[in-house]
Amino acid sequence: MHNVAVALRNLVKNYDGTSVPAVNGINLEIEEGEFVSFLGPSGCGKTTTLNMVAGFFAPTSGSILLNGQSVEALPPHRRGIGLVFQDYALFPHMTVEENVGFGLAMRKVAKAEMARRVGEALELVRLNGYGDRKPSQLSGGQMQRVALARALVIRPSVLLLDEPLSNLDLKLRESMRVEIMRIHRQTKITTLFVTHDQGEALVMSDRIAVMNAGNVEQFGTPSEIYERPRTRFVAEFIGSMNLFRCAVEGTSCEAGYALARAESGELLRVQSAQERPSGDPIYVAVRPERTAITRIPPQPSPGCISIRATIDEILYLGNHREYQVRLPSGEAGVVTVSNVADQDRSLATGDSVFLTASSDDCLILARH
Amino acid sequence: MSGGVNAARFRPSAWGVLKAVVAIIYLFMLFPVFFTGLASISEGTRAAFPPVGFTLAWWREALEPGWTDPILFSLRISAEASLIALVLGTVLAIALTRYTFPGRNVLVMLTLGPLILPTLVLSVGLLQMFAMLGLSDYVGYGGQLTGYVVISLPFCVRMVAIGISNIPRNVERAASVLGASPWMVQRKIVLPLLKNGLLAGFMFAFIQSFTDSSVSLFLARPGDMPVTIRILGFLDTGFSPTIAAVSMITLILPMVMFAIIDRFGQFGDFIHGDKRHA
Amino acid sequence: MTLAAAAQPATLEPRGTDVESRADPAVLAGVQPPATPTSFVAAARTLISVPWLLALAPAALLFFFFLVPTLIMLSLSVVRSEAIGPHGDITLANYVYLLSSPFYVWAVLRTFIIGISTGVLVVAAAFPVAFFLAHTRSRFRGALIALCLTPLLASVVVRTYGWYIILSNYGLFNETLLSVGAIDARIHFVPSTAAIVVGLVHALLPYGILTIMNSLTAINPNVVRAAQSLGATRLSVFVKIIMPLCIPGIVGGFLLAFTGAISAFATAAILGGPKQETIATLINTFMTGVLDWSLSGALGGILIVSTIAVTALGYWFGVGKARI
Repeated sequence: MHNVAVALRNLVKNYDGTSVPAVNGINLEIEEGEFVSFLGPSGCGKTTTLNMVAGFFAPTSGSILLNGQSVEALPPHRRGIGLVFQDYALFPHMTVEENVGFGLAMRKVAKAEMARRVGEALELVRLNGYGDRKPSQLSGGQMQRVALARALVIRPSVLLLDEPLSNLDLKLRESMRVEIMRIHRQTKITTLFVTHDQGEALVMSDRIAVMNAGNVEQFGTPSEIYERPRTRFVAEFIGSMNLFRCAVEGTSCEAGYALARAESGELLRVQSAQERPSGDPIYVAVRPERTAITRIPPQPSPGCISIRATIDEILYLGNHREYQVRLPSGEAGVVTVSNVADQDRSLATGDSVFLTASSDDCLILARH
Repeated sequence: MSGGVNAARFRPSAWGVLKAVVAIIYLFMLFPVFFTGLASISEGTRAAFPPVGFTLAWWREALEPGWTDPILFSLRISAEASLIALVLGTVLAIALTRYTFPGRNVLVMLTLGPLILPTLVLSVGLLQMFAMLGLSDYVGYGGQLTGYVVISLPFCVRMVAIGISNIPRNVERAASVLGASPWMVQRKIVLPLLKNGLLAGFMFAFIQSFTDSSVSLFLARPGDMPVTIRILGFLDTGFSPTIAAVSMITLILPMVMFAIIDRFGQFGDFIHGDKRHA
Repeated sequence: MTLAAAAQPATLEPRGTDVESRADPAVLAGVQPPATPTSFVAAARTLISVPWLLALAPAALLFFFFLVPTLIMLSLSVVRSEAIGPHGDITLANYVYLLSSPFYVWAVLRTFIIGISTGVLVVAAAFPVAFFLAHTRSRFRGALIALCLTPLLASVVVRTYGWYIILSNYGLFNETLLSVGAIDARIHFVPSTAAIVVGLVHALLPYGILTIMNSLTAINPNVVRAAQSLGATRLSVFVKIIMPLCIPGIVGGFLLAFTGAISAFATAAILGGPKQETIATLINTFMTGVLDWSLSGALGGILIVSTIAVTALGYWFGVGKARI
């Protein structure tokens, strides 16, 4: 078993004067060396959670354990964590070297040792030779590297990254992603990464905690999150998802599958992890890239679902086409098709089509 | 310089007109200082024009203890008042900018009070209060010092508050996560970054006290006479070019002082909000 | 006396008011927030909270040496006092006495005339300078700003004294006008109300320039570009965009000049005379000459009330509005 580096137990944060809790009872265990992303829209409580781990906000209730030790009573400067901010927060009156050495100076590390470790840290972020510069002489990407070096040099038990890439332009953001992943591989420091960018979270994380309205909706590996989303929110926040309103029809189906009646009348046989009572309102969910679009009705098959639709719009996106369709029930759907040679390019706006997908690519999500 | 240069264009450009107007206003601003300087080195004894001859006699007179004592007194009491106001103003600015707390708005009004209400009124009130409490002994140095601190305080609060709001919150948080105790955060991060704001606050406070003639009007005692009150008293009996020389000294001294202080930080940028060097 | 920046007290607002980034002060101070305290305990905790501990000394100073003396002066204005000893019932007799004598009414009126004309002239002279300083790309910009601050460094006495040299009977103006033959007899510029206004405009101009420059530089240049792209001429950009946006600065500059002018003593004493008494010079007479503290208190009361009224009016009119 791995050691638990960070544990959040029933963590709740209520700001004064607000009735809705910003963080509403989070339970999470993060293993040592893991790279975990907190992913969610702004206001979902991810930054509040990070600030509680860092010690800037006190939890209203619940507890935070770092390496098994409860840290609520510890002020930020005794927690021994590393933190990188979105706006870098470099000390403008200090050189790069002094910035990186600050944490070591606070720990009263000897001069020679300090110089060695600052040098190592700058090398780790590939900024050797920049030690004498002031932050104002650096580019955004360089400032972010200094901020990383400054956080890493104290060998923190946990590294917190608060949207560190949001202020960078696209190209830089992508190279910094790889850089952070490399540094994580080299240092193996447990990392909590706060982001609202699903792409970043999917690429970088060992596990992702998807947050919404103060709750963790799902905590799992990137592929679990993408392929087996447990709620409508997770399904729609990461990638896009076709959701068809259905009701469970009977229970007479073999184990692991269920029959669902779509609002437009089709009976769909889809994979189902749990047994649901007849008439239960559900969504049948399927990713646009796992949906096929055809002009002729497919052969009825138990391993396949098929729904009638009309094409609203066709978007040409270079490497793929996106068909925006409408079901007879009025629901909207999306199908993406790779631009490869053998596809049907004759489809046009207004055409009647059939959407098909494998039963095993379909999911059932609760509908309230 | 676009007006008039191009002969084909008879109408001077708007910018050119503006420059001319600005030049006239600058002349207006520098006029009195220039003529005071001129009067201080000319031989005429009346406030007369044109100046006749050249003499340093008035400056020699101005550098005798009769005038240097009040000048030194003004420098000393202004420096003391500014330092006290700076310390008090800094803690008040921290409280007002960093915290929301009950009574904060009342405190803001109280802080702005000495700015809005006439200084002369404060002087009257202080004199009456000291007299009513039987503390007339403190009228004089202590009374003036208190009055100066009160009128300087809002300036210090204001300058330090601007300085504090220029420090990103996350910079302090970063220091604290890196292991700096709250005290170390103040010492290593906040104070150095606040330097320009503190210098500007000190400068404004010093100017308030050094150039004041209202607070001291009722609170100054014969032995504790700031130079402004001394000049005022002298003017009652008539004109003397010595005063012109004294006036120039009181103008030049703080200028030299601020030029030296400005070497240690760019509080000039701070005053006119130019953040290009920040 | 006055402060250019006083026109923008809004900066005293605490930063980071949005919920996500708001720091819990108790946490920053390393103390736990109190758990549902009783009202007494809450009051006690308020007083020993970190901000109040910080603010205690300056707040006490302002309370005992600003608020209390001001209130004492005001309270003396509503009783009769013989020299130092106040006695008798509360009465408005002091105010009635002042306002029923044409001499004092004229002094009060003159003070306001001085205040208003100084305010208007300061704004009129400060605006072009501020506009120039806000937009010039000259490398002397910093030096020019420093230069327009020099009147601040010179004390009121020094500034006023310079004007005395220029305006007096044998001063620059009279001598120049005489020598070119424009006048036959010397004009008595000093003492006069106009001389007081000239001296005060000069003294208060830097505050006007700083205040108006602040609001001009705060205008987002893209707003101006947007107006130009929509077809506005330079004149209409100025009238419709720049002027409305710097109304807070203009009103602020006027307020500073007005309040500075109505309470100025030294300028009025040097450039004015017995026929140009103002509230400030009368206060001096009552305080040191006649020793009537009730009447000086009443005059102080008139100053306070009019200052607060004009300031409130100014804020209502524009200082508080139009922040972009």
